[in-house]
Amino acid sequence: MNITRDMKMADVIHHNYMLLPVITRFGINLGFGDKRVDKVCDENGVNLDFFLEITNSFVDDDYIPQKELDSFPVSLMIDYLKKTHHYYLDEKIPELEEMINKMTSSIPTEKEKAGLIVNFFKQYRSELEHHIMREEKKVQPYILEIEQAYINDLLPPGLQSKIKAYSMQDFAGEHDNVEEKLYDLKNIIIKYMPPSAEKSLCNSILIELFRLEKDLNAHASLEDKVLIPKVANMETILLSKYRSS
Amino acid sequence: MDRVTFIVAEKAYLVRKGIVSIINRIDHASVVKELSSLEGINSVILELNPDYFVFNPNLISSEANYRNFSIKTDLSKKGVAITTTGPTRKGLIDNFREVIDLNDERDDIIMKFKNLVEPPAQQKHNSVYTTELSDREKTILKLVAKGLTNKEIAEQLYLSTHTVITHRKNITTKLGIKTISGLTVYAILNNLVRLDEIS
Repeated sequence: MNITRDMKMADVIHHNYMLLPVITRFGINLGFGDKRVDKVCDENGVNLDFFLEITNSFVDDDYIPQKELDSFPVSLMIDYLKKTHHYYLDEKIPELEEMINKMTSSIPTEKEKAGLIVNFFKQYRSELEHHIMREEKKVQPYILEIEQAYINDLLPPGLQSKIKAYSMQDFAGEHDNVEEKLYDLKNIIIKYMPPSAEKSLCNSILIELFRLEKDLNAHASLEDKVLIPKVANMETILLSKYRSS
Repeated sequence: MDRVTFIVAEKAYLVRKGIVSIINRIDHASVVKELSSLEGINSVILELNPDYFVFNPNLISSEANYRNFSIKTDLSKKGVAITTTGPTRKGLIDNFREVIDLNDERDDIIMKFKNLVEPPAQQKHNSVYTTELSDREKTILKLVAKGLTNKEIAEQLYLSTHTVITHRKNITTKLGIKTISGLTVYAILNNLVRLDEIS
């Protein structure tokens, strides 16, 4: 079932509760009564079409954007991606870290081995941070520059050499697999960790890890399927225009 | 399970017979054609449509020979290289699905062909390939945990790098752990290595 503008926002949540953090990222608070999606978006200053594309592609991995995703400014997408980053680094990761510390401190035997898992999560966190920093410090400013040039229909020489030195296609290539460590962490807890006394905490951690994985995948596919092709396309157009002039 | 078919092309008689006999002893696998050269290979492949084509890349004698070779775009799916000494097209080996090295030991060769016939994840009921790691895999995992590269592991165990890579893939499939640091955690948790052995 697709999410449409005439659905009630409450039904969107009932349809898939995994959308809760997504809706929060748009700055929409709960308590929307029986208002429709379009009304809630309007009241919160959210671009309705963008909201529909994001939520639909989140719910359905095979969802192919219907509308002219091209019509959204890239800056809108980047703003959303940044909010997602913020959600990972400032909310989810600290939350998980605290849970993992608590869980491992209740493994009665073999303190050293428990420490391994804490350490493994720290490594994961620093890789994720590194990945996000790179995106925000290097990739996103570059993308905004490209969009500006595209809108102004003017390619400054400095940017031209930047495109040649580093293009979106490279970014797609090096979009590294932070997911792999997350996948490993799940299996280590499920299959190999010495039993912890905190049984329900273990389960909560796993559930959080599965949710985080789903969210990260949706995040990566927004970048890979929508953002990168769109920017790569602008790059090509800019370069060819510049050459012909 | 369907029969998995192989064509084997190798000039050296002993090597060819050896490979054919190993393949034919693996369940569900059979060699449908044996050749000593690549002459007429395109029509043989067209006629028999084998699941895998095992051959010595040195048999590709010229550029024209390679260009007309119908399976060349399929090597990563269906190609198995037999590596012997002699001039091999540069970089060609990397395109193959699997590589059999002349110095491989019996168990390594059998493992490689078994993996082709049935993916490791589905080999659960086979007595040799349970989800338990084999002794060889444990040895390799220990070295991975100690921080050795595939090349260093290959040198230390007198294996080819390709064989080490195949073992690594099997270890990852069996354990469900992909990263080196994840494998290290596993190795310590299971007492394969001690914490103080990790650099």
